Amino acid sequence: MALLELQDLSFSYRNRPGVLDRITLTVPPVPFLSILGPNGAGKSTLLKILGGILEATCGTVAVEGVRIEPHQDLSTLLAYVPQSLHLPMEMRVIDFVLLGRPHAMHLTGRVRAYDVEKAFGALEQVGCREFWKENLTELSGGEQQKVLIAKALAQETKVLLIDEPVTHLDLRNQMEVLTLLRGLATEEGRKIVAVMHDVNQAREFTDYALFLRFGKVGAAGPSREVICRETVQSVFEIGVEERVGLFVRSSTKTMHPSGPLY
Amino acid sequence: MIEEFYRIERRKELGAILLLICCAGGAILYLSVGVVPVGLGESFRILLGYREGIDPGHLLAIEGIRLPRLIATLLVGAGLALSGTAYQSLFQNRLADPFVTGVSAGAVLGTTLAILLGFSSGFLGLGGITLFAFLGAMGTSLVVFILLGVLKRASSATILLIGISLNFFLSAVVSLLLFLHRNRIESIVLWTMGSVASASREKVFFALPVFLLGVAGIFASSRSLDYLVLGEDIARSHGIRVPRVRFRIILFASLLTSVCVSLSGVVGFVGLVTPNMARILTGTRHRSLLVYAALLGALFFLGADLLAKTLLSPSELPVGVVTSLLGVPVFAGLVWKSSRRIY
Repeated sequence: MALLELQDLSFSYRNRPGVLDRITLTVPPVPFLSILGPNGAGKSTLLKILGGILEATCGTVAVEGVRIEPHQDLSTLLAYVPQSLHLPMEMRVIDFVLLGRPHAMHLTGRVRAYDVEKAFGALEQVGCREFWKENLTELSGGEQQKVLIAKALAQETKVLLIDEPVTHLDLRNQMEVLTLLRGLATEEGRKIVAVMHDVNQAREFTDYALFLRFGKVGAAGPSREVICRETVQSVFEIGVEERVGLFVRSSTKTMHPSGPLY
Repeated sequence: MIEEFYRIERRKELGAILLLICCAGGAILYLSVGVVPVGLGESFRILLGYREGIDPGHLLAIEGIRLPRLIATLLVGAGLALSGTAYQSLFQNRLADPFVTGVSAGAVLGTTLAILLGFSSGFLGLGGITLFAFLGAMGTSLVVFILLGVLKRASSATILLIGISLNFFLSAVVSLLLFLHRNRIESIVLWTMGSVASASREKVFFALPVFLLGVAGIFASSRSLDYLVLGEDIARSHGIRVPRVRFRIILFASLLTSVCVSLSGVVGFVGLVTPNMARILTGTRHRSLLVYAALLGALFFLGADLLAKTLLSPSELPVGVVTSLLGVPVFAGLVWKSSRRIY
């Protein structure tokens, strides 16, 4: 079953038409898909449409064979992880992760033991169990990102939609988060769709890449094949004179497997 | 770790029970205190329905005057706290209070009109002021709803701006009316300071169904509020229809605020501070947060009104003045204590 099926998908904001422009695409059932492209290309918008957060102007979307309809509770199929969280008030890490268990609460306000264990288990998985009673807003960027992922894990969905998981993190945290996601995809059979900026990381960690450009598909295919100098040049409109592919030849066949593209 | 989690959960449950006991104790004390002092035991017996051997004067003081006022006090305290909690979570802003949509200014305008037009006889035993305050508050909410209907994709910030603008606009209308009728300023200004002294059986009977409807609506939205605190995107990804839920929450919170304002006038601080106190004590899960907020609101307002009616006995202070004078130090203490840990 295809991971994503987009049929004639378009989306416009009221004052910005053509954010996504008649996209038709089928992404095979790969474990880890990256969505890449310049700012304003429609990456986050696509992710939000996949998560049922935004409603497509026209066209249809299916994730893992399930057609995404507006206002549908998708929390058992997929979990959405935003780029960052703007929490206006204190919240304990464990209370946040428990929100990934929508039926955790009895009518009386008590939390079911089963769900508490799941939430602690999810925190354990991302290595943040010891922070369970800390205030989420006071954690470092890397820890916060891991806790965001823990909530998604507690949801126990097959698909995780993650918006720019490493954009604001230092190198070490970037590696930790990406390795964690890669492990979830490979070892647990989760399907991960992540909006990313770093093409090198996308080539290194993800199986399939989808480039968006001006609301259309710029390129799509297995990461190791499609993420190459030509694609990056054309999608990001970087001139030949600039230092694109310093260590990479123009052909994918001779490309160094993990060498940087810029 | 999990054991500690449950230990904290049990502590929160005990805290709620303790608050409930304090409310009950406070209620009996409230019934006993007044111009005609009544023994605590006697108040308790009257409350339980015993009539034998009770001084008829005491019976009249408690059943005729103090009991309606007690119920009004509890309703106003709990109602403002619940409405404030709902608005704070909905707007993701800890500074939001029950009057954020302009409801209080609407109620003041209603009252001003009632006083200026001489509608004091009212309807079904209700004072004209109570009725006009309620209608003014609900009328303001209606304007907010119409604007929300017109601006379908209004953000939380837009709704806040609408509320603030309405507040300013209606306050200006009230000021204009006051300016034109300077001789009546005193009664209107006194009303805006807040008081439950005029609570009557009729007012309580009028308020109770509206109050219960509002409370039920807010409690039924507790799961949605849990997610709305995290922002619209996460709420939507959990299948919450944000505009519809937001409309519902504003509707029930407005009902609660309107009924409270019509009972007590504009009482500041309770609806702003008790939700924040509850957050410090119990955290952000709304099932327990709302219970804590309601109990704290009721207890806080009960204490404030007790002071309002006893400090300068036999005359009374406006309770709105006491809530602020009492509330600031209590809240400062709580913030100080909580600066090291969260609940």
